Amino acid sequence: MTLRGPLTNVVLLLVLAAALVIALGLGFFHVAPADVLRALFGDATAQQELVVGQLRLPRALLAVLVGAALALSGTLLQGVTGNGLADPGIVGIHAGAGVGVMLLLVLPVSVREASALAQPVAAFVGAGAAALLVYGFAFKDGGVTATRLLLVGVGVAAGLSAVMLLLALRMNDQVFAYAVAWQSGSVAGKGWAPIRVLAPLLAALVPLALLQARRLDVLGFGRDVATGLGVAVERQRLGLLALSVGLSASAVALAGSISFVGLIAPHMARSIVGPRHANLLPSAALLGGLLVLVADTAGRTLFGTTELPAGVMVAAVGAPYFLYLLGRSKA
Amino acid sequence: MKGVGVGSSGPQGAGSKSAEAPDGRLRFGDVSLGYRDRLIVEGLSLSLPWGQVTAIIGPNGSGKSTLLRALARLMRPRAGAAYLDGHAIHTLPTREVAKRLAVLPQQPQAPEGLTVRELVEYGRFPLRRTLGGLTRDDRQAVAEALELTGTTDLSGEPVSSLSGGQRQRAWIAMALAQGTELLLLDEPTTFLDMAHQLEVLELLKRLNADQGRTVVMVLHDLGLASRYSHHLVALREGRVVTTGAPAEVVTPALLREVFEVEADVVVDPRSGAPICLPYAVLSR
Repeated sequence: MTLRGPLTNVVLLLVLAAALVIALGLGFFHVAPADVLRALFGDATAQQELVVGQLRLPRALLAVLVGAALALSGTLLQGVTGNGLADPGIVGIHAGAGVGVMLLLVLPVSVREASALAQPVAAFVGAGAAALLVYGFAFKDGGVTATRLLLVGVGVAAGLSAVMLLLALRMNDQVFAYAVAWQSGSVAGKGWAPIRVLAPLLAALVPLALLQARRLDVLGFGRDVATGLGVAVERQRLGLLALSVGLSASAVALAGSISFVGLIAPHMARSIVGPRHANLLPSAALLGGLLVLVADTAGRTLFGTTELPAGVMVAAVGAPYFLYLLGRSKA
Repeated sequence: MKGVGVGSSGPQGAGSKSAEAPDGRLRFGDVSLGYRDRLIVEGLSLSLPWGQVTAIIGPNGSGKSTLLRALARLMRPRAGAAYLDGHAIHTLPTREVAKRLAVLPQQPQAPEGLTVRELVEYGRFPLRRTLGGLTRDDRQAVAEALELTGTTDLSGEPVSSLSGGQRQRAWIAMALAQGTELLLLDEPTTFLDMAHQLEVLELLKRLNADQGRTVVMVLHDLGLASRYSHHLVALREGRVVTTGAPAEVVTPALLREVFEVEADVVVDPRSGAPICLPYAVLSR
């Protein structure tokens, strides 16, 4: 047991904290890092406190939490399927959440705006239902194989996209624009409410994921070796898939479909700390948080008055990286 | 010996002087095995000798691997069961089974970047708690497994950088670290060159002789199987054709019936094991 992995994670945590402080200062109203710290710990001008503490902090924290949740979800999924190209989007999470939200949006205004929770709940239910659908179709001969899961996932996601298109045809321009904006994934202007949901959820699910670290390592040897080592493969796979879906569905429900984080963060983490999940899970979470934070900060500061949502920024970097991974993979 | 009927228990090969009279600790009872709609093995009963090296032989598709997989609870029987000390193996908690038998499947894959030591440490998985590091017992078992397989010097190397023979020894070390009396191996020498084949089989022989571990393996090569096992099980189309010591099993008649070849059988002057020299394919 070397200390390299844990130390790397401490360094990543410090990097993330530093990035957070810098990000909070960046923007139209510039605040120096020292003043950011002062604003956070209650000794700054009222204006600085408003901008940093009330406006930018919830947005930045949501970016970090969403990124961490998606990255963990992707790491679990890649571990369970033994396929490095697996991403929560592939088991239909994003498309499912999209259908959930769009179904809500075609309902009368009185229904869809009855509660602030209506939209996240619709997205979560949609994502969960899509994942169940994928698992159900992939199930054969007493279990699911990774290949079947991924192939069925692609098929179901395509089908759900068609459903979304169908729903979009029934929308007026304004609602449609809203739906597209939601789809592109953003952490902007959501206040503290989503953080109050996501933070406790992560606080509960992250330790649960970490407890599974060694079992995930063993699952990586494939069904036969894992069974030989005493892992009840199908039951563990199902449990870990549920955990992965819970994490990404929550993130997508609160911030829309930010894709590629669940794919890229585990790869970056693996190249830094190696394949063992005890180190891999925390690094992936930290890198995922960093990724979305940097993407969102870049999206709101780089382009003058136009703001690009975090989802678009991540995809701009993620798509080429995905192709690079494909080119490098042996398959 | 041809066409010996094999009972579910009781000694085999009565009258022979061989010491492998199976004692029933490890046996198949009326087991049926298959994939999807294809039945490979039907109603097979067989005992395997404890404390010895057994090789399962037979042509492609005869059910060798299927039988081993059932023993290792890698597949569920359609009917009947494989029994270890009287318990149907597939009904035992899988983790408990992992403390009693270790299995090395064909062509196992290790994740990129994993070192030999890390691989072997996973052999302790069934004995470890969810949290916490390796115990002193764990460390000792890992060190021993590395030592026995001659992989101590390789322990810091990534598994993916090893040669075929080294890699196979590393995987065997992982199975050894499990600390089980029973070792099951599915074609452990396939894709290895001659020197590496011998290296692996010598290792298994030593593990049996020095440590008393029971070894059951599927082997393709009849010569190697004869030379390195006490007991052979010859399968054809999911049936046991014959079982017993190599000298009793490997006969021209068996080679005709099981492998469909005409062959001479001579005795290896060095080991006394039968060697088969096939000269023609049996005309059907």
